[in-house]
Amino acid sequence: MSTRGTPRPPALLIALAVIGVLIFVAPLIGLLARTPWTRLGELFTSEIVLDALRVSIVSSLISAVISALIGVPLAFVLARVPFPGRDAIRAIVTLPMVLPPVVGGAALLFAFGRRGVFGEALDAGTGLTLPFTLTGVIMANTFVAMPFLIITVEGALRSLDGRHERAAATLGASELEVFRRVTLPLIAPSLRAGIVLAWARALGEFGATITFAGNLQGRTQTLPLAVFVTLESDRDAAIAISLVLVALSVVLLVALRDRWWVRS
Amino acid sequence: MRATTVQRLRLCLSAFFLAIVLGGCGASSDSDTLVVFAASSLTDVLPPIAESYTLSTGTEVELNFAGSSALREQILDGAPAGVFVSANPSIMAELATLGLIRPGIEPVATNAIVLAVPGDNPAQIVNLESFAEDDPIIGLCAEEVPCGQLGAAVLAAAGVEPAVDTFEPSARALVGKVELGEVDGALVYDTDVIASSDLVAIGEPFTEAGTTTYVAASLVGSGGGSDRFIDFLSSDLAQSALRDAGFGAP
Repeated sequence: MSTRGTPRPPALLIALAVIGVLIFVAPLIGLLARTPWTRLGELFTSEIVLDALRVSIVSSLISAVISALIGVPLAFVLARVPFPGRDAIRAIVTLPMVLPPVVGGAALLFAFGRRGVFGEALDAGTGLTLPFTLTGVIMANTFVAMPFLIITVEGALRSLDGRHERAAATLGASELEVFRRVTLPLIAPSLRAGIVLAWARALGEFGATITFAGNLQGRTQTLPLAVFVTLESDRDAAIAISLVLVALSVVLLVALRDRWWVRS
Repeated sequence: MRATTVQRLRLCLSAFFLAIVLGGCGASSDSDTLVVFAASSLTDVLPPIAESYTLSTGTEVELNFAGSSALREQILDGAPAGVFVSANPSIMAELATLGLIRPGIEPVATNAIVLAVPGDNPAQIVNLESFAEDDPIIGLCAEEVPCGQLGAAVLAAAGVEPAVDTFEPSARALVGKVELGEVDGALVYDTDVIASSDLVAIGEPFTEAGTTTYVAASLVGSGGGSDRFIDFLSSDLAQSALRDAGFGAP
């Protein structure tokens, strides 16, 4: 697009926009300015970083997959199946997006802890204990991440006009077949974006994880938790872990570029 | 069209951040206010002491509680504190070496580590040896905070290698999880067990290996009010409040 003929943007807007840019650039500069560049190699391969990286990658990927397996059907029901209380269900499902994660973690503990409303029966019946385990990390991650996938996919499903799906049904396809072979391919770009969003949110999750799953290196200590504890003892290590998270976030942004970076 | 939800979300987020920025501008620093940075284990006992100080001197006291090592980081980064009360004397010594606090570090109280379990002791913890077993869920403070260093010293002195399930970022977080019954056994401060109706101590506090002294000092650049507050911490009134909460005499 050409800028010829576009009126000059107001100076006030430009000034506020520059402040906006600074808010996001300044912390990044701060991080890079404090980075111990010569020690980075040794820090990246230290045990605490490698352990946290493994726990983070495993738990966030599994959370993203679970979010897709459960979140897509949930989004479908919310978008297509009218039932009383649907708005209330939608509100509850998206609550973790605005809820402070530490509250989510405490709520998970009250529900699924060993003395929790459901956790006590689970513990007595199966001997399965969720707090302080990798399963607990995955639960906390999924709880905060899945709503991002649900609202993305639900929005896509609502914007379909149903023409192709009706046509397929007329041709004799079963409802599940229509969903799998017509609806899913139509919403594929949104589904991809939803999965990446959910993965990104799971990767950065802190409050719910440390509250519900605790903090043990190699078992439940994810990258954000490792940053938090090392910040007080070994700032160089904390910065190195932060850089790993920045790098992973950049990868995620590139994966989302078609959706979020509207090219001019 | 499919981006409407995302756009709406973005709008919400922008409004949210704007609110944070505008809200932050409202904070002011009053010259008649003393800012006290204190170890999180003093969270319950210090507010009434600070209130009595305000009543007798007219100076408002603003309390900021966090782990002593987190407070050290904040002070290193130039946080505007007048007084620092640390649960770990070596953190204070480090700040003194760096020239960030005035001479005259004042011991204020002591505290000791104790073995704590939920009221009904579900895992039947009998002593420190139980910490080496796999079954009970064992919690310690992270070694980055003083209660974690003391706990590690207690375990080392007893020759126990614990099978730890979680290293909590603060003594308070650990206490909360024992109170909920999610952690079966933990090493926490004696004062936390005294303050909680849901915790029970097993045996006596580990005074040999697990005692710490709380020390207070004025930060360089703070006014005379800082020194007055530290003197007040040694007064009979403040000391009896500390004794009531289970802290030892310095």
